[in-house]
Amino acid sequence: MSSEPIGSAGKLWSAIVERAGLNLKLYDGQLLDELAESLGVPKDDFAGGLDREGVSVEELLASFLSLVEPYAGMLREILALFTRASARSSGENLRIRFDFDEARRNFELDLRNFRDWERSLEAVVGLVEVYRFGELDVYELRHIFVVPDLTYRIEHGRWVEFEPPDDGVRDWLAQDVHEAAGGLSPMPPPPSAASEELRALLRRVWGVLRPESDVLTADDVRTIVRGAYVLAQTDADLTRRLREFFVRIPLTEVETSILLDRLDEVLNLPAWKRREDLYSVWVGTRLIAALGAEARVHQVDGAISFSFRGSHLATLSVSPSANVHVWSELQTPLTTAKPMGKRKARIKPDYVLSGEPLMNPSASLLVVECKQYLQQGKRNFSNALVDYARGHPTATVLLVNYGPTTSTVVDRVAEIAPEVRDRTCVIGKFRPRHGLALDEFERLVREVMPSRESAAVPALSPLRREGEAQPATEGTLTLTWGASPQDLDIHGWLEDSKGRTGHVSYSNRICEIEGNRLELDADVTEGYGPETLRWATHGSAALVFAAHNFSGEQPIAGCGARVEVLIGSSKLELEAPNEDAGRWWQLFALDTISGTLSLRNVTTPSAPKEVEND
Amino acid sequence: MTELAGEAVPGRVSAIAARIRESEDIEEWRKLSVDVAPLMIAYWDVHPHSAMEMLEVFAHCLPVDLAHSLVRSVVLGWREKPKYDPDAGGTADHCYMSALILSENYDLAEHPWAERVLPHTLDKELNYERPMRDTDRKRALVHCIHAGGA
Repeated sequence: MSSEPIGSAGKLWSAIVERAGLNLKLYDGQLLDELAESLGVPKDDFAGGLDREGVSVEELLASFLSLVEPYAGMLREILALFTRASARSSGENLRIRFDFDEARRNFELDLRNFRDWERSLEAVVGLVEVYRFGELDVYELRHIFVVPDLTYRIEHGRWVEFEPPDDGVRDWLAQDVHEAAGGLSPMPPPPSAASEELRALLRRVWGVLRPESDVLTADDVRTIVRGAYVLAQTDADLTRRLREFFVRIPLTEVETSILLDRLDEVLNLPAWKRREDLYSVWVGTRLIAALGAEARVHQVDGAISFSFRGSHLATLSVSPSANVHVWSELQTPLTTAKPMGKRKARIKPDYVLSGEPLMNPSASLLVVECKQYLQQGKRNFSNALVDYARGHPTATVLLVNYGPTTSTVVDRVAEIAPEVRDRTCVIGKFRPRHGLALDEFERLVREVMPSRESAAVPALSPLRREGEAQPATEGTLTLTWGASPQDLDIHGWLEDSKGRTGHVSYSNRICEIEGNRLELDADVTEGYGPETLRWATHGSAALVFAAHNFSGEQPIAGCGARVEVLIGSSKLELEAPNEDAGRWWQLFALDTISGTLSLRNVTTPSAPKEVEND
Repeated sequence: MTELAGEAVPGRVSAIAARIRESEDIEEWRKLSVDVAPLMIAYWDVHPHSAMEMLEVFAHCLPVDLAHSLVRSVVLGWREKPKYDPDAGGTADHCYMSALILSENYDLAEHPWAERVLPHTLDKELNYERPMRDTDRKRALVHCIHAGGA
């Protein structure tokens, strides 16, 4: 792309479309919409329009790259999640795996490539410093559009703004700026002006007003848009003021050829070509991040998996006996006679934050659906909210959209399903650097999370009440399951205060060390169980328990196996998790003196401790 | 925040105000405005009364366009304070109002506080001449509000 000089924005656009293989009628249509809007150029015959409007090559590049910027932010945050999960794994080879249905090609991103792409995007975005103003600069720019007796007057001691002549702009200004967290609907284009210089200057102003800009509030944006529409036709001095303002804002002087090379690089990144998937993954990243640093990100065979069939992404322990889980594409029944959308008997929102037991829709705390529309689809969005709210009868249901949203979506929910209105919400302009939307999202996650102090299962509370430790000197663990896998085995490990260890399993059913005893009652090899392990300790001992899928004809994950633990009057019930990471189901560890129970409830490829006899 | 807290703030703010008064370089004013904005926001926690007085000082010594940016930034910063109250400065309320008027930030004046404070502020602005930069434009702003039926 860089070898041939490109003399006009129209030619540059044609080159971008050709080199990047943009599909403007489908996948990349929204990109064109955003560009057309920010440059004030009609999208029909966009290349010709760019030249007719006198848009420069640099302006087009800057506008185009500002659309890339949010994706750089997404990559950065996904990379942080990657790095965090990697730090807990063996090394650098962690991957993100996208496993779609038949209609779409699966693919994987690996950590090293991800870092390279993130650097490429950052490098490109960093070239477009032209739109980065300081806070005071922005207020100075805003002030250019505030002129006594032209944009405002004082009436009865109050500041009253004049309305612009354009009906569409007046409607846009009339929106409630504080509604939802989504901000305003797409901005009107820059006003037309007789002078080419003023048109170019206003396009630069609109560049600052883009959704990616985080230096202006919605009220500031409205003031500028209102002022521009009022002044463009009436204020001869506007051109001079804008000219003087922009003259002192340094325009980054970037060699077009360098920018084009970088652009070429970015547009051919797999991450850019799969940006729709990237958005959804980024939303998941925000959800996990909102749970805090203690959330454990799960990986299977060195990959974080986003599967069409459902993936268990992360777990946060909120008490010794209670976890919350982040699932992507978790499928659950839709028990309503008449779904609003095209969904049928089952629903599969992008993310579910769930308590336990998993798969029980009533345990869902938060459902998150991601949309990547530039303009909201009121019907489509509200239908999704209603179906998901009905399918998850106690959860808060949140729809996040890349573009803006308005309260009309939840207004429609109130019309068609008033019973779920209070549990549904939308957040628009949900993307990097949009603090308001991001804060609202975090607030919602915090709101639905169980209190970490009060989340303990009541039956287990005697085990770990702070400052009131009770010895857990005797207890039983009973494993039951279905017909398949045929042979599951309980394993128990014991270590006393002097470091002496023992292991109980089907091949060694009794272990006794200085009065500490573990005993397994049976080895059931043809399904169902039960197998019961009892322990009795005298003094300090650490116990660890797990179940092993010996026959292995189907995964232990999701097989319906259950464990019931009785310690004194406390009872804990576990069900085999759905995430399949191996043949071991790690259950919990117990400190018999402090009564502290550390719940694991995960499947792993290896035993929690050495298995010397098997 | 430690750097901005406590007794260091008033001294640093006064020093910057003095430098702006002494300088005739608009770029230096701009740079000093950027430096003083966070200090002025922190000043609220030290002494709202003095902070309001200093806000008026900056509205005087900067031309309207620069005063607009600085005052707006500071006032919006003050409004983020949990204990923000336009009456927190006591008898310095007219300083706060003058700063808003002279920097063309009257849209930030909160009602009904503004109805109460505006009459004596306008009385001061219309009857007592004080040296300030960009005087004609600032006078016009005062008259615009006066004519607007305050």
